[in-house]
Amino acid sequence: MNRVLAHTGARYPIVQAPMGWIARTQLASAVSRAGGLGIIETSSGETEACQAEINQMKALNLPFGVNLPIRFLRDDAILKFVCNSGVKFVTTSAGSPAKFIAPLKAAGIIVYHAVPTVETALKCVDAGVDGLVVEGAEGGGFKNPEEVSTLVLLQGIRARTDVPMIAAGGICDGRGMAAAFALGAEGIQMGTRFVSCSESPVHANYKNAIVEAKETGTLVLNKKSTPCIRALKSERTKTSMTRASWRPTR
Amino acid sequence: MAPDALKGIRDVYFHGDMEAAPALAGQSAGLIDAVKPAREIIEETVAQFFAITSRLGTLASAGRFG
Repeated sequence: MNRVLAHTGARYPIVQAPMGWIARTQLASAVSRAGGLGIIETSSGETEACQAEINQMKALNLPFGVNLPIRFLRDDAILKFVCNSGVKFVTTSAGSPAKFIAPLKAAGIIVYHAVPTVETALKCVDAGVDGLVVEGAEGGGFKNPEEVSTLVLLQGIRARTDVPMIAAGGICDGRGMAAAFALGAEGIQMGTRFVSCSESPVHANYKNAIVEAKETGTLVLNKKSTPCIRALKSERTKTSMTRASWRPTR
Repeated sequence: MAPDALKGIRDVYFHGDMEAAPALAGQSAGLIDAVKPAREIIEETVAQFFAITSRLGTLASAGRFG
């Protein structure tokens, strides 16, 4: 029996990643309706908007989850809301889940934490998570500067613990899914693939830039900070590649 | 809140200004060649997963590598 399906209630163990501002009802409901698991983001920091999105998803009566990026949360408002909202599945990320596990488990919520290294994975298992989102360096957005690939990470974690793993980073189709399962995963999470799907709310320029990008089309910016960021190469990132950093101009 | 580097990310996402902030994406961008409905993505992924695992199952039952 596939534990990710048992934990999420989805028909397929295919999870949509929680991109800030993007992973809201329009996208998450399309994924959940198609048998995957839509996740609602809270990393935008827009607590009220995210609460409204969670309520909308609940009203649709589809399986779904919520992501809580621990380090990015200003206070525990969204944690408390999620605990009282009837949400059944939460992924935590960006920081130690230790303090979040007790209230989430007390609310009967299944918790998977996103991990970039074997060491973090083992700490999370000790802290009592139900499963792991194993997130290799191929993935977009916030990354750990250690940059361990999905291939190595899945094997390293599976060799040391038996909790269910959702593989993330570098996966966008059935080839990646089969590879991840060969390495011990019971589910996959896709971000870039769903950002560039028809129901994604982002501008056509962004979807087209993903479609046009080659496998060499991304780079990791701000490598000296945690988290660093994987993004598409662009005019601006090209000029800053030598220092590989990005500072806001406004 | 997310790091300062992502100030301007909404201009990328919702106004298509691709230089307003780092346009977050993974290396799989190099494997994605069409915008498709979520249902199509999921159904193709599942079909391809079973085609591959079935081929591997055949290898295992035959005790061969190809």
